[in-house]
Amino acid sequence: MEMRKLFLPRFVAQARSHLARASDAAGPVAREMHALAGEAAVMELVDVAGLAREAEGRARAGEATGEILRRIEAAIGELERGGEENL
Amino acid sequence: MRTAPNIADTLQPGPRPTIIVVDDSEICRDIAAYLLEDMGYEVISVGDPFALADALRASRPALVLVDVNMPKVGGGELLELVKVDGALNCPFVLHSDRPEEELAGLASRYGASGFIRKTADPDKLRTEVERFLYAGSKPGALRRP
Repeated sequence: MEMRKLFLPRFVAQARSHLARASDAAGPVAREMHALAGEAAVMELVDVAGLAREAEGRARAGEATGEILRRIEAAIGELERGGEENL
Repeated sequence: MRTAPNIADTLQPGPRPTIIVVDDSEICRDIAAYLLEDMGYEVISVGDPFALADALRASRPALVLVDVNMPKVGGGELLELVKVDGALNCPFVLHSDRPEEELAGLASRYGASGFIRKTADPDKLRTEVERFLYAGSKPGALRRP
């Protein structure tokens, strides 16, 4: 718990960077979501990791990812607003 | 009736074990380093997988933890490279959040020592790391940090 509190601000900033790059039409969505999923997993943020994995899978399958990227963004926003309360 | 002591409890003082963490994600490396250093290990953090061979020769680590999916080279392929290079002299453990079955298959395919699932839980990480550090150790080889 202590570790996650310590690293949460960095995780949120990094997640926003991944989302920004993934939201670029020409951006490498699968790679960014893969990275985000790994980082969320090591933070044990299971929901975010699951969404990012789903986005990665959709991107690799050539499917639309806009809706799921918005859900991830909302989840990150929730984490940011709740801060430590959400851990 | 007396039971045999745990091998790890019989280890004699020796050098403080060094663990190399290879991961393209800086935050993943820093989290692993934070947890491992808190347990008393020396940690060398490597962001560029192609720098691993040099790090192995320079530090003589007790264990290497390597991310599976990195853009430049996967953990399995990296193991093949350091084997060919002759630099590997310690357990090479895959480190990932992927499902256990997948990691077991990868470890078997590439001949890795095994795998550890990424975790934020220091107790889980300690147990897994010690499994590789002390399994088969001879007394005097390593000490618990």
